[in-house]
Amino acid sequence: MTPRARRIARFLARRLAQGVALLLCIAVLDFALLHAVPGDAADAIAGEAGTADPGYVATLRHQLGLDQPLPVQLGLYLGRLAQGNFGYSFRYGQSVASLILERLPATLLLMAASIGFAVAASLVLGTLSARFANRWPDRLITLVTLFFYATPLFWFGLMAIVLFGVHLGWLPTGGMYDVARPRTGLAFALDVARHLVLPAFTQACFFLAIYTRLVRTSMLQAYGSDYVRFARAKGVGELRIALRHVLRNALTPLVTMVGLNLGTLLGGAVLTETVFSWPGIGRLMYDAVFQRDVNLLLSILVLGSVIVIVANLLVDMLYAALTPAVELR
Amino acid sequence: MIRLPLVIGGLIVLALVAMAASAGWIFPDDPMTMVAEPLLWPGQDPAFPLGTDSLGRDIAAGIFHGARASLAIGFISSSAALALGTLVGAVAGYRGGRVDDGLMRISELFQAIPQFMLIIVLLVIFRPSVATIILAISIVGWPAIARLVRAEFIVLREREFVQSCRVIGMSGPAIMLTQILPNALPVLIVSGTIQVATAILMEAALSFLGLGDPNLLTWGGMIGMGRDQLREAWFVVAVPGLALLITALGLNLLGDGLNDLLDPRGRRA
Repeated sequence: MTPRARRIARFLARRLAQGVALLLCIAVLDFALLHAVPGDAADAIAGEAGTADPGYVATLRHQLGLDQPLPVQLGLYLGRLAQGNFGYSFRYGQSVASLILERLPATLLLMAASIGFAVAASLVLGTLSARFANRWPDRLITLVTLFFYATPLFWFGLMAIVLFGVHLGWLPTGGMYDVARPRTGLAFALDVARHLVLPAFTQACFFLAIYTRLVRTSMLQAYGSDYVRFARAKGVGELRIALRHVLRNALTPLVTMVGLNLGTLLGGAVLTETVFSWPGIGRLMYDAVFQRDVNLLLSILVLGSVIVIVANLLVDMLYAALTPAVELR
Repeated sequence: MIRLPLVIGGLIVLALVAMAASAGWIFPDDPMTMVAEPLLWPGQDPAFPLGTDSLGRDIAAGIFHGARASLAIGFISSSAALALGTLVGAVAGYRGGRVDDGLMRISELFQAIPQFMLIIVLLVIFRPSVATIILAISIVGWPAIARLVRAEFIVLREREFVQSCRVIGMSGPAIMLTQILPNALPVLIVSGTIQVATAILMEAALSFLGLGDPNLLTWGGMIGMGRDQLREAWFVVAVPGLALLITALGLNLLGDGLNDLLDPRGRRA
Protein backbone atom coordinates (compact mmCIF):
# COMPACT_ATOMS: atom_id res chain seq x y z
CA MET A 1 0.00 0.00 0.00
CA THR A 2 1.32 3.43 -0.88
CA PRO A 3 1.21 6.08 1.87
CA ARG A 4 -1.53 7.90 -0.06
CA ALA A 5 -3.69 4.79 -0.31
CA ARG A 6 -3.18 4.12 3.39
CA ARG A 7 -4.18 7.65 4.25
CA ILE A 8 -7.29 7.43 2.09
CA ALA A 9 -8.23 4.07 3.60
CA ARG A 10 -7.87 5.47 7.12
CA PHE A 11 -9.96 8.53 6.20
CA LEU A 12 -12.75 6.40 4.72
CA ALA A 13 -12.70 3.96 7.66
CA ARG A 14 -13.17 6.84 10.09
CA ARG A 15 -16.03 8.23 8.01
CA LEU A 16 -17.66 4.79 7.95
CA ALA A 17 -17.42 4.51 11.76
CA GLN A 18 -18.95 8.00 12.11
CA GLY A 19 -21.76 6.99 9.79
CA VAL A 20 -22.58 3.91 11.85
CA ALA A 21 -22.55 5.95 15.08
CA LEU A 22 -24.90 8.52 13.50
CA LEU A 23 -27.23 5.78 12.39
CA LEU A 24 -27.40 4.41 15.92
CA CYS A 25 -28.31 7.87 17.27
CA ILE A 26 -31.02 8.23 14.65
CA ALA A 27 -32.46 4.83 15.54
CA VAL A 28 -32.62 5.82 19.23
CA LEU A 29 -34.30 9.11 18.31
CA ASP A 30 -36.73 7.14 16.21
CA PHE A 31 -37.51 4.87 19.15
CA ALA A 32 -38.15 7.89 21.37
CA LEU A 33 -40.53 9.41 18.80
CA LEU A 34 -42.37 6.11 18.43
CA HIS A 35 -42.95 6.20 22.19
CA ALA A 36 -44.22 9.78 22.07
CA VAL A 37 -47.25 8.61 20.10
CA PRO A 38 -50.32 8.03 22.27
CA GLY A 39 -51.00 4.28 22.48
CA ASP A 40 -48.35 1.70 21.64
CA ALA A 41 -47.52 -0.36 18.57
CA ALA A 42 -49.90 -3.14 19.65
CA ASP A 43 -52.84 -0.71 19.74
CA ALA A 44 -51.81 0.67 16.37
CA ILE A 45 -51.51 -2.75 14.73
CA ALA A 46 -54.78 -3.94 16.25
CA GLY A 47 -56.42 -0.73 15.09
CA GLU A 48 -55.08 -1.15 11.55
CA ALA A 49 -56.11 -4.80 11.50
CA GLY A 50 -59.57 -3.65 12.59
CA THR A 51 -59.89 -5.47 15.92
CA ALA A 52 -59.94 -4.25 19.49
CA ASP A 53 -59.99 -7.70 21.11
CA PRO A 54 -58.07 -7.29 24.43
CA GLY A 55 -56.72 -10.84 24.26
CA TYR A 56 -55.28 -10.25 20.79
CA VAL A 57 -53.77 -6.92 21.85
CA ALA A 58 -52.17 -8.54 24.92
CA THR A 59 -50.68 -11.35 22.79
CA LEU A 60 -49.37 -8.81 20.30
CA ARG A 61 -47.90 -6.75 23.12
CA HIS A 62 -46.06 -9.80 24.40
CA GLN A 63 -44.91 -10.81 20.92
CA LEU A 64 -43.54 -7.32 20.26
CA GLY A 65 -41.87 -7.28 23.68
CA LEU A 66 -43.91 -4.23 24.75
CA ASP A 67 -44.37 -5.69 28.26
CA GLN A 68 -40.59 -5.53 28.80
CA PRO A 69 -38.75 -2.63 30.48
CA LEU A 70 -37.81 0.28 28.15
CA PRO A 71 -34.06 -0.46 27.75
CA VAL A 72 -34.89 -4.05 26.76
CA GLN A 73 -37.48 -2.73 24.30
CA LEU A 74 -34.88 -0.39 22.83
CA GLY A 75 -32.50 -3.34 22.40
CA LEU A 76 -35.20 -5.41 20.70
CA TYR A 77 -36.08 -2.46 18.47
CA LEU A 78 -32.48 -1.89 17.40
CA GLY A 79 -32.10 -5.64 16.78
CA ARG A 80 -35.16 -5.63 14.53
CA LEU A 81 -33.92 -2.58 12.61
CA ALA A 82 -30.50 -4.20 12.13
CA GLN A 83 -32.25 -7.15 10.49
CA GLY A 84 -34.13 -4.78 8.22
CA ASN A 85 -37.44 -5.53 9.95
CA PHE A 86 -39.46 -2.32 9.96
CA GLY A 87 -42.79 -3.93 10.72
CA TYR A 88 -45.82 -4.68 8.58
CA SER A 89 -48.21 -2.26 6.91
CA PHE A 90 -51.76 -3.59 6.95
CA ARG A 91 -52.95 -0.84 4.67
CA TYR A 92 -50.59 -1.88 1.88
CA GLY A 93 -50.63 -5.56 2.82
CA GLN A 94 -46.86 -5.93 2.75
CA SER A 95 -43.83 -5.41 4.97
CA VAL A 96 -42.70 -1.80 5.37
CA ALA A 97 -39.19 -2.71 4.23
CA SER A 98 -40.38 -4.13 0.89
CA LEU A 99 -42.84 -1.25 0.49
CA ILE A 100 -40.00 1.28 0.79
CA LEU A 101 -37.49 -0.73 -1.28
CA GLU A 102 -40.03 -0.90 -4.11
CA ARG A 103 -40.24 2.91 -4.19
CA LEU A 104 -36.55 3.56 -3.65
CA PRO A 105 -35.27 3.31 -7.27
CA ALA A 106 -37.65 6.08 -8.40
CA THR A 107 -36.39 8.42 -5.68
CA LEU A 108 -32.73 7.59 -6.33
CA LEU A 109 -33.23 8.22 -10.06
CA LEU A 110 -34.84 11.59 -9.32
CA MET A 111 -32.08 12.56 -6.89
CA ALA A 112 -29.28 11.50 -9.24
CA ALA A 113 -30.84 13.37 -12.16
CA SER A 114 -31.39 16.56 -10.18
CA ILE A 115 -27.92 16.54 -8.58
CA GLY A 116 -26.34 15.79 -11.96
CA PHE A 117 -28.23 18.62 -13.62
CA ALA A 118 -27.59 21.11 -10.80
CA VAL A 119 -23.84 20.34 -10.75
CA ALA A 120 -23.40 20.43 -14.53
CA ALA A 121 -25.42 23.61 -15.01
CA SER A 122 -23.78 25.36 -12.05
CA LEU A 123 -20.31 24.59 -13.42
CA VAL A 124 -21.25 26.23 -16.72
CA LEU A 125 -23.09 29.19 -15.18
CA GLY A 126 -20.55 29.68 -12.38
CA THR A 127 -17.64 29.65 -14.84
CA LEU A 128 -19.41 32.15 -17.12
CA SER A 129 -20.16 34.32 -14.11
CA ALA A 130 -16.53 34.28 -12.97
CA ARG A 131 -15.14 34.95 -16.46
CA PHE A 132 -17.44 37.95 -16.93
CA ALA A 133 -17.35 39.09 -13.30
CA ASN A 134 -19.38 42.28 -12.73
CA ARG A 135 -20.29 42.53 -16.42
CA TRP A 136 -23.77 41.85 -17.80
CA PRO A 137 -23.60 38.01 -18.14
CA ASP A 138 -22.56 37.84 -14.48
CA ARG A 139 -25.34 40.19 -13.40
CA LEU A 140 -27.95 38.25 -15.38
CA ILE A 141 -26.84 34.93 -13.91
CA THR A 142 -26.82 36.41 -10.40
CA LEU A 143 -30.36 37.68 -10.89
CA VAL A 144 -31.59 34.28 -12.13
CA THR A 145 -29.96 32.43 -9.22
CA LEU A 146 -31.48 34.91 -6.79
CA PHE A 147 -34.95 34.03 -8.13
CA PHE A 148 -34.26 30.29 -8.11
CA TYR A 149 -33.09 30.54 -4.51
CA ALA A 150 -36.25 32.31 -3.36
CA THR A 151 -38.85 30.34 -5.33
CA PRO A 152 -40.89 27.80 -3.35
CA LEU A 153 -40.05 24.46 -4.96
CA PHE A 154 -43.58 23.04 -4.96
CA TRP A 155 -45.00 26.20 -6.52
CA PHE A 156 -42.34 26.21 -9.22
CA GLY A 157 -43.35 22.62 -10.02
CA LEU A 158 -47.04 23.50 -10.26
CA MET A 159 -46.32 26.47 -12.53
CA ALA A 160 -44.10 24.26 -14.71
CA ILE A 161 -47.04 21.86 -15.07
CA VAL A 162 -49.30 24.73 -16.16
CA LEU A 163 -46.81 26.06 -18.69
CA PHE A 164 -45.13 22.97 -20.16
CA GLY A 165 -47.83 20.40 -19.55
CA VAL A 166 -51.13 22.19 -20.00
CA HIS A 167 -50.47 25.18 -22.26
CA LEU A 168 -47.55 24.01 -24.39
CA GLY A 169 -48.19 20.29 -24.05
CA TRP A 170 -44.50 19.49 -24.46
CA LEU A 171 -43.95 17.21 -21.48
CA PRO A 172 -45.90 14.76 -19.32
CA THR A 173 -46.85 16.24 -15.94
CA GLY A 174 -47.30 13.25 -13.68
CA GLY A 175 -46.14 9.71 -13.01
CA MET A 176 -42.94 8.01 -14.08
CA TYR A 177 -44.05 6.42 -17.36
CA ASP A 178 -47.07 6.25 -19.65
CA VAL A 179 -49.37 3.77 -17.91
CA ALA A 180 -51.85 3.70 -20.79
CA ARG A 181 -49.19 2.66 -23.32
CA PRO A 182 -46.52 0.66 -21.51
CA ARG A 183 -43.29 0.39 -23.50
CA THR A 184 -40.26 -1.84 -23.28
CA GLY A 185 -36.52 -1.47 -23.75
CA LEU A 186 -35.16 1.77 -25.13
CA ALA A 187 -38.62 3.22 -25.72
CA PHE A 188 -39.39 2.72 -22.02
CA ALA A 189 -36.16 4.44 -20.97
CA LEU A 190 -36.98 7.40 -23.23
CA ASP A 191 -40.49 7.55 -21.81
CA VAL A 192 -39.14 7.63 -18.23
CA ALA A 193 -36.62 10.30 -19.25
CA ARG A 194 -39.43 12.47 -20.65
CA HIS A 195 -41.36 12.10 -17.40
CA LEU A 196 -38.20 12.89 -15.44
CA VAL A 197 -37.49 16.29 -17.03
CA LEU A 198 -39.92 18.51 -15.09
CA PRO A 199 -39.50 16.89 -11.62
CA ALA A 200 -35.71 16.82 -11.90
CA PHE A 201 -35.54 20.45 -13.06
CA THR A 202 -37.92 21.57 -10.29
CA GLN A 203 -35.93 19.71 -7.67
CA ALA A 204 -32.62 21.07 -9.00
CA CYS A 205 -33.44 24.81 -9.14
CA PHE A 206 -32.72 25.69 -5.52
CA PHE A 207 -29.43 23.78 -5.50
CA LEU A 208 -28.47 25.17 -8.90
CA ALA A 209 -28.66 28.63 -7.32
CA ILE A 210 -26.44 27.71 -4.37
CA TYR A 211 -23.89 25.83 -6.46
CA THR A 212 -23.59 28.54 -9.11
CA ARG A 213 -22.68 31.13 -6.46
CA LEU A 214 -20.19 28.70 -4.93
CA VAL A 215 -18.53 27.88 -8.27
CA ARG A 216 -18.33 31.59 -9.14
CA THR A 217 -16.61 32.41 -5.84
CA SER A 218 -14.10 29.56 -5.96
CA MET A 219 -13.34 30.17 -9.65
CA LEU A 220 -12.59 33.82 -8.92
CA GLN A 221 -10.34 32.81 -6.05
CA ALA A 222 -8.53 30.21 -8.15
CA TYR A 223 -7.96 32.59 -11.09
CA GLY A 224 -6.52 35.18 -8.71
CA SER A 225 -4.17 32.70 -7.04
CA ASP A 226 -0.40 32.46 -7.28
CA TYR A 227 -0.36 28.95 -8.71
CA VAL A 228 -2.44 29.99 -11.70
CA ARG A 229 -0.22 33.02 -12.27
CA PHE A 230 2.80 30.71 -12.02
CA ALA A 231 1.30 28.19 -14.45
CA ARG A 232 0.66 31.02 -16.91
CA ALA A 233 4.22 32.24 -16.52
CA LYS A 234 5.44 28.72 -17.26
CA GLY A 235 3.47 28.89 -20.53
CA VAL A 236 0.73 26.38 -19.65
CA GLY A 237 -2.22 26.71 -22.04
CA GLU A 238 -5.46 28.42 -20.95
CA LEU A 239 -7.57 25.27 -21.42
CA ARG A 240 -5.18 23.17 -19.34
CA ILE A 241 -5.16 25.84 -16.63
CA ALA A 242 -8.95 25.92 -16.61
CA LEU A 243 -9.34 22.13 -16.39
CA ARG A 244 -6.33 21.06 -14.40
CA HIS A 245 -5.85 23.93 -11.94
CA VAL A 246 -8.98 26.04 -11.66
CA LEU A 247 -11.78 23.52 -12.14
CA ARG A 248 -10.20 20.95 -9.86
CA ASN A 249 -9.91 23.46 -7.05
CA ALA A 250 -13.41 24.73 -7.62
CA LEU A 251 -14.80 21.20 -7.52
CA THR A 252 -13.71 20.44 -3.96
CA PRO A 253 -16.04 22.94 -2.20
CA LEU A 254 -18.80 21.94 -4.63
CA VAL A 255 -18.46 18.27 -3.69
CA THR A 256 -18.52 19.17 0.02
CA MET A 257 -21.65 21.28 -0.50
CA VAL A 258 -23.44 18.51 -2.41
CA GLY A 259 -22.74 16.19 0.53
CA LEU A 260 -24.11 18.72 3.01
CA ASN A 261 -27.26 19.27 0.93
CA LEU A 262 -28.26 15.63 0.50
CA GLY A 263 -30.68 15.68 3.44
CA THR A 264 -32.34 18.85 2.15
CA LEU A 265 -32.56 17.31 -1.30
CA LEU A 266 -34.30 14.20 0.02
CA GLY A 267 -36.69 16.34 2.08
CA GLY A 268 -37.50 18.32 -1.06
CA ALA A 269 -38.30 15.04 -2.80
CA VAL A 270 -41.44 14.79 -0.65
CA LEU A 271 -42.71 17.99 -2.31
CA THR A 272 -41.49 17.26 -5.83
CA GLU A 273 -42.86 13.72 -5.83
CA THR A 274 -46.18 14.94 -4.44
CA VAL A 275 -46.52 17.60 -7.13
CA PHE A 276 -45.56 15.28 -10.00
CA SER A 277 -47.07 12.01 -8.63
CA TRP A 278 -43.58 10.52 -8.89
CA PRO A 279 -43.81 7.01 -7.36
CA GLY A 280 -40.90 7.29 -4.89
CA ILE A 281 -40.52 7.33 -1.11
CA GLY A 282 -41.40 11.04 -0.94
CA ARG A 283 -44.81 10.37 -2.42
CA LEU A 284 -45.15 7.36 -0.08
CA MET A 285 -44.45 9.70 2.82
CA TYR A 286 -47.18 12.09 1.66
CA ASP A 287 -49.65 9.19 1.57
CA ALA A 288 -48.50 8.04 5.02
CA VAL A 289 -49.19 11.54 6.39
CA PHE A 290 -52.80 11.26 5.31
CA GLN A 291 -53.17 7.81 6.83
CA ARG A 292 -51.34 8.94 9.99
CA ASP A 293 -49.16 5.83 9.64
CA VAL A 294 -46.47 6.82 12.14
CA ASN A 295 -44.52 3.58 11.83
CA LEU A 296 -44.25 3.95 8.06
CA LEU A 297 -43.27 7.64 8.46
CA LEU A 298 -40.53 6.83 10.96
CA SER A 299 -39.24 3.98 8.79
CA ILE A 300 -38.98 6.36 5.82
CA LEU A 301 -37.16 8.85 8.05
CA VAL A 302 -34.63 6.17 9.13
CA LEU A 303 -34.11 4.92 5.59
CA GLY A 304 -33.86 8.49 4.35
CA SER A 305 -31.05 9.04 6.84
CA VAL A 306 -29.38 5.83 5.68
CA ILE A 307 -29.49 7.12 2.10
CA VAL A 308 -27.92 10.42 3.16
CA ILE A 309 -25.18 8.68 5.16
CA VAL A 310 -24.35 6.17 2.39
CA ALA A 311 -24.40 8.90 -0.25
CA ASN A 312 -22.12 10.96 1.95
CA LEU A 313 -19.65 8.06 2.01
CA LEU A 314 -19.67 8.14 -1.79
CA VAL A 315 -19.10 11.89 -1.66
CA ASP A 316 -16.20 11.29 0.75
CA MET A 317 -14.61 8.90 -1.75
CA LEU A 318 -14.94 11.51 -4.47
CA TYR A 319 -13.49 14.08 -2.10
CA ALA A 320 -10.58 11.75 -1.30
CA ALA A 321 -9.87 11.40 -5.01
CA LEU A 322 -9.91 15.18 -5.56
CA THR A 323 -8.00 16.35 -2.50
CA PRO A 324 -4.26 16.05 -1.84
CA ALA A 325 -3.78 13.23 0.68
CA VAL A 326 -2.24 15.49 3.33
CA GLU A 327 -5.48 17.42 3.62
CA LEU A 328 -7.63 14.37 4.37
CA ARG A 329 -8.67 14.52 7.97
CA MET B 1 -23.29 55.08 -2.93
CA ILE B 2 -26.66 53.46 -3.63
CA ARG B 3 -27.20 50.12 -1.97
CA LEU B 4 -29.82 48.71 -4.31
CA PRO B 5 -30.39 45.24 -2.78
CA LEU B 6 -30.74 46.75 0.68
CA VAL B 7 -33.26 49.34 -0.53
CA ILE B 8 -35.37 46.90 -2.57
CA GLY B 9 -35.27 44.22 0.12
CA GLY B 10 -36.09 46.72 2.84
CA LEU B 11 -39.02 48.16 0.87
CA ILE B 12 -40.46 44.68 0.20
CA VAL B 13 -40.23 43.71 3.86
CA LEU B 14 -41.75 47.05 4.92
CA ALA B 15 -44.62 46.56 2.47
CA LEU B 16 -45.22 43.07 3.89
CA VAL B 17 -45.30 44.34 7.45
CA ALA B 18 -47.75 47.06 6.35
CA MET B 19 -49.94 44.42 4.66
CA ALA B 20 -49.91 42.24 7.75
CA ALA B 21 -50.70 45.17 10.02
CA SER B 22 -53.55 46.50 7.88
CA ALA B 23 -55.10 43.12 7.02
CA GLY B 24 -57.80 43.37 9.71
CA TRP B 25 -58.57 46.95 8.71
CA ILE B 26 -58.72 46.62 4.90
CA PHE B 27 -60.35 43.17 4.98
CA PRO B 28 -62.26 43.14 8.28
CA ASP B 29 -64.26 39.99 7.40
CA ASP B 30 -63.00 36.47 8.02
CA PRO B 31 -60.95 35.60 4.89
CA MET B 32 -62.22 32.03 5.15
CA THR B 33 -65.84 32.96 4.33
CA MET B 34 -67.44 32.87 0.89
CA VAL B 35 -68.00 36.36 -0.50
CA ALA B 36 -68.53 35.99 -4.25
CA GLU B 37 -69.04 33.43 -6.97
CA PRO B 38 -66.21 30.92 -7.13
CA LEU B 39 -63.21 31.12 -9.51
CA LEU B 40 -63.57 34.74 -10.62
CA TRP B 41 -60.47 35.63 -12.66
CA PRO B 42 -58.34 38.55 -11.49
CA GLY B 43 -59.78 41.77 -12.93
CA GLN B 44 -63.10 40.17 -13.83
CA ASP B 45 -64.84 41.88 -10.92
CA PRO B 46 -63.24 45.13 -9.68
CA ALA B 47 -64.39 44.34 -6.15
CA PHE B 48 -62.09 41.30 -6.15
CA PRO B 49 -58.92 42.46 -7.92
CA LEU B 50 -57.07 39.15 -7.42
CA GLY B 51 -60.10 36.94 -8.09
CA THR B 52 -61.74 34.29 -5.94
CA ASP B 53 -60.92 30.67 -5.23
CA SER B 54 -63.03 27.53 -5.71
CA LEU B 55 -65.01 28.29 -2.51
CA GLY B 56 -65.69 31.89 -3.55
CA ARG B 57 -63.23 33.38 -1.07
CA ASP B 58 -61.49 36.67 -1.84
CA ILE B 59 -57.88 35.87 -2.80
CA ALA B 60 -56.71 39.43 -2.01
CA ALA B 61 -58.05 39.07 1.53
CA GLY B 62 -56.25 35.73 1.78
CA ILE B 63 -52.98 37.33 0.66
CA PHE B 64 -53.24 40.09 3.28
CA HIS B 65 -54.23 37.78 6.13
CA GLY B 66 -51.72 35.17 4.93
CA ALA B 67 -48.93 37.78 5.19
CA ARG B 68 -49.78 38.00 8.88
CA ALA B 69 -49.48 34.23 9.41
CA SER B 70 -46.31 33.88 7.33
CA LEU B 71 -44.48 36.77 8.96
CA ALA B 72 -45.50 35.77 12.48
CA ILE B 73 -44.50 32.12 12.08
CA GLY B 74 -41.31 33.02 10.21
CA PHE B 75 -40.28 35.68 12.71
CA ILE B 76 -41.08 33.76 15.92
CA SER B 77 -39.52 30.47 14.81
CA SER B 78 -36.40 32.25 13.56
CA SER B 79 -36.06 34.18 16.81
CA ALA B 80 -36.29 30.94 18.78
CA ALA B 81 -33.75 29.20 16.53
CA LEU B 82 -31.48 32.26 16.72
CA ALA B 83 -31.67 32.44 20.52
CA LEU B 84 -30.93 28.75 21.07
CA GLY B 85 -28.32 28.60 18.30
CA THR B 86 -26.52 31.66 19.67
CA LEU B 87 -26.49 30.33 23.23
CA VAL B 88 -25.15 26.89 22.30
CA GLY B 89 -22.78 28.20 19.61
CA ALA B 90 -21.36 30.87 21.91
CA VAL B 91 -20.63 28.46 24.76
CA ALA B 92 -19.23 25.83 22.40
CA GLY B 93 -17.00 28.30 20.58
CA TYR B 94 -15.76 30.09 23.68
CA ARG B 95 -15.26 27.11 25.99
CA GLY B 96 -14.42 24.36 23.48
CA GLY B 97 -14.00 20.87 24.94
CA ARG B 98 -16.99 18.66 25.72
CA VAL B 99 -19.72 21.21 24.94
CA ASP B 100 -18.10 21.81 21.60
CA ASP B 101 -17.82 18.09 20.78
CA GLY B 102 -21.46 17.60 21.79
CA LEU B 103 -22.61 20.45 19.57
CA MET B 104 -20.69 19.19 16.58
CA ARG B 105 -22.14 15.69 16.97
CA ILE B 106 -25.69 17.08 17.22
CA SER B 107 -25.27 19.24 14.16
CA GLU B 108 -23.88 16.25 12.24
CA LEU B 109 -26.98 14.34 13.29
CA PHE B 110 -29.20 17.09 11.95
CA GLN B 111 -27.29 17.07 8.68
CA ALA B 112 -27.81 13.34 8.20
CA ILE B 113 -31.55 13.39 8.96
CA PRO B 114 -33.59 14.80 6.08
CA GLN B 115 -34.85 17.82 8.04
CA PHE B 116 -38.09 18.34 6.19
CA MET B 117 -38.98 14.68 6.73
CA LEU B 118 -38.26 15.06 10.46
CA ILE B 119 -40.59 18.08 10.65
CA ILE B 120 -43.32 16.11 8.88
CA VAL B 121 -42.98 13.22 11.35
CA LEU B 122 -42.99 15.61 14.33
CA LEU B 123 -46.14 17.34 13.10
CA VAL B 124 -47.98 14.08 12.44
CA ILE B 125 -47.13 12.84 15.95
CA PHE B 126 -47.81 16.11 17.81
CA ARG B 127 -50.64 17.41 15.52
CA PRO B 128 -50.15 20.58 13.46
CA SER B 129 -50.90 23.87 15.21
CA VAL B 130 -49.19 27.26 15.16
CA ALA B 131 -47.21 26.30 18.28
CA THR B 132 -46.04 22.88 17.04
CA ILE B 133 -45.16 24.26 13.59
CA ILE B 134 -43.04 27.03 15.13
CA LEU B 135 -41.38 24.54 17.47
CA ALA B 136 -40.64 22.01 14.71
CA ILE B 137 -39.14 24.64 12.38
CA SER B 138 -36.93 26.08 15.13
CA ILE B 139 -35.77 22.60 16.23
CA VAL B 140 -34.27 21.90 12.80
CA GLY B 141 -33.09 25.50 12.33
CA TRP B 142 -30.89 26.10 15.37
CA PRO B 143 -27.91 23.77 14.69
CA ALA B 144 -26.88 25.66 11.53
CA ILE B 145 -26.93 28.96 13.42
CA ALA B 146 -25.01 27.40 16.32
CA ARG B 147 -22.25 26.31 13.92
CA LEU B 148 -22.01 29.81 12.50
CA VAL B 149 -21.86 31.50 15.93
CA ARG B 150 -19.33 28.91 17.12
CA ALA B 151 -17.02 29.68 14.20
CA GLU B 152 -17.30 33.40 14.93
CA PHE B 153 -16.59 32.96 18.66
CA ILE B 154 -13.57 30.72 17.99
CA VAL B 155 -11.99 33.52 15.94
CA LEU B 156 -12.97 36.33 18.28
CA ARG B 157 -11.90 34.68 21.54
CA GLU B 158 -8.25 34.85 20.42
CA ARG B 159 -8.36 38.57 19.67
CA GLU B 160 -6.38 40.98 21.84
CA PHE B 161 -9.34 42.90 23.25
CA VAL B 162 -10.83 39.66 24.56
CA GLN B 163 -7.56 38.50 26.05
CA SER B 164 -7.04 41.82 27.80
CA CYS B 165 -10.51 41.46 29.35
CA ARG B 166 -9.45 38.06 30.64
CA VAL B 167 -6.29 39.57 32.09
CA ILE B 168 -8.21 42.19 34.09
CA GLY B 169 -10.31 39.37 35.57
CA MET B 170 -13.59 39.69 33.69
CA SER B 171 -15.79 36.57 33.98
CA GLY B 172 -16.46 34.27 31.00
CA PRO B 173 -20.18 35.07 30.65
CA ALA B 174 -19.48 38.81 30.92
CA ILE B 175 -16.83 38.61 28.18
CA MET B 176 -19.12 36.58 25.93
CA LEU B 177 -22.07 38.92 26.42
CA THR B 178 -20.46 42.35 26.45
CA GLN B 179 -17.30 41.85 24.35
CA ILE B 180 -17.71 39.04 21.83
CA LEU B 181 -21.45 39.04 21.13
CA PRO B 182 -21.61 42.66 19.88
CA ASN B 183 -18.84 41.80 17.41
CA ALA B 184 -20.69 38.70 16.25
CA LEU B 185 -23.96 40.65 15.74
CA PRO B 186 -23.52 41.29 11.98
CA VAL B 187 -23.34 37.54 11.33
CA LEU B 188 -26.39 36.98 13.54
CA ILE B 189 -28.49 39.68 11.89
CA VAL B 190 -27.70 38.45 8.39
CA SER B 191 -28.29 34.77 9.09
CA GLY B 192 -31.41 35.62 11.09
CA THR B 193 -32.88 37.47 8.09
CA ILE B 194 -32.17 34.55 5.75
CA GLN B 195 -33.58 32.15 8.36
CA VAL B 196 -36.90 34.05 8.36
CA ALA B 197 -37.15 33.45 4.59
CA THR B 198 -36.31 29.77 5.02
CA ALA B 199 -38.89 29.39 7.80
CA ILE B 200 -41.62 31.09 5.74
CA LEU B 201 -40.94 28.82 2.76
CA MET B 202 -40.91 25.80 5.06
CA GLU B 203 -44.24 26.70 6.67
CA ALA B 204 -45.73 27.22 3.21
CA ALA B 205 -44.51 23.78 2.11
CA LEU B 206 -46.03 22.20 5.22
CA SER B 207 -49.38 23.94 4.68
CA PHE B 208 -49.27 22.85 1.04
CA LEU B 209 -48.95 19.23 2.18
CA GLY B 210 -51.92 19.69 4.51
CA LEU B 211 -49.80 19.97 7.65
CA GLY B 212 -50.59 23.61 8.41
CA ASP B 213 -52.69 24.90 11.29
CA PRO B 214 -56.26 24.04 10.19
CA ASN B 215 -57.61 27.29 11.70
CA LEU B 216 -55.20 29.55 9.85
CA LEU B 217 -55.34 30.82 6.28
CA THR B 218 -51.81 30.66 4.84
CA TRP B 219 -50.29 31.16 1.39
CA GLY B 220 -49.09 27.56 1.30
CA GLY B 221 -52.56 26.34 2.23
CA MET B 222 -54.10 28.48 -0.55
CA ILE B 223 -51.72 26.86 -3.07
CA GLY B 224 -52.62 23.40 -1.77
CA MET B 225 -56.35 24.16 -2.09
CA GLY B 226 -55.98 25.60 -5.58
CA ARG B 227 -54.07 22.60 -6.86
CA ASP B 228 -57.27 20.75 -7.74
CA GLN B 229 -58.27 23.45 -10.26
CA LEU B 230 -54.74 23.99 -11.55
CA ARG B 231 -55.71 23.34 -15.17
CA GLU B 232 -58.72 25.66 -15.39
CA ALA B 233 -57.84 28.33 -12.81
CA TRP B 234 -54.09 28.49 -12.35
CA PHE B 235 -54.23 32.03 -10.90
CA VAL B 236 -55.52 30.57 -7.60
CA VAL B 237 -52.12 28.88 -7.26
CA ALA B 238 -50.05 31.56 -9.00
CA VAL B 239 -51.03 34.53 -6.81
CA PRO B 240 -50.10 33.17 -3.34
CA GLY B 241 -46.96 31.60 -4.84
CA LEU B 242 -45.89 34.99 -6.20
CA ALA B 243 -46.49 36.45 -2.74
CA LEU B 244 -44.16 33.79 -1.29
CA LEU B 245 -41.54 34.36 -3.98
CA ILE B 246 -41.54 38.14 -3.46
CA THR B 247 -41.36 37.69 0.32
CA ALA B 248 -38.43 35.27 0.17
CA LEU B 249 -36.71 37.46 -2.43
CA GLY B 250 -37.15 40.57 -0.27
CA LEU B 251 -35.76 38.90 2.84
CA ASN B 252 -32.79 37.47 0.93
CA LEU B 253 -32.03 40.84 -0.66
CA LEU B 254 -32.28 42.45 2.75
CA GLY B 255 -29.90 39.81 4.16
CA ASP B 256 -27.40 40.31 1.30
CA GLY B 257 -27.68 44.09 1.65
CA LEU B 258 -27.12 43.96 5.41
CA ASN B 259 -24.15 41.68 4.81
CA ASP B 260 -22.52 44.28 2.55
CA LEU B 261 -23.42 47.09 4.92
CA LEU B 262 -22.18 45.38 8.09
CA ASP B 263 -19.06 43.85 6.61
CA PRO B 264 -16.55 46.70 6.53
CA ARG B 265 -13.65 44.41 5.72
CA GLY B 266 -15.35 43.29 2.51
CA ARG B 267 -14.62 39.63 3.10
CA ARG B 268 -17.00 38.41 0.47
CA ALA B 269 -15.78 37.68 -3.03
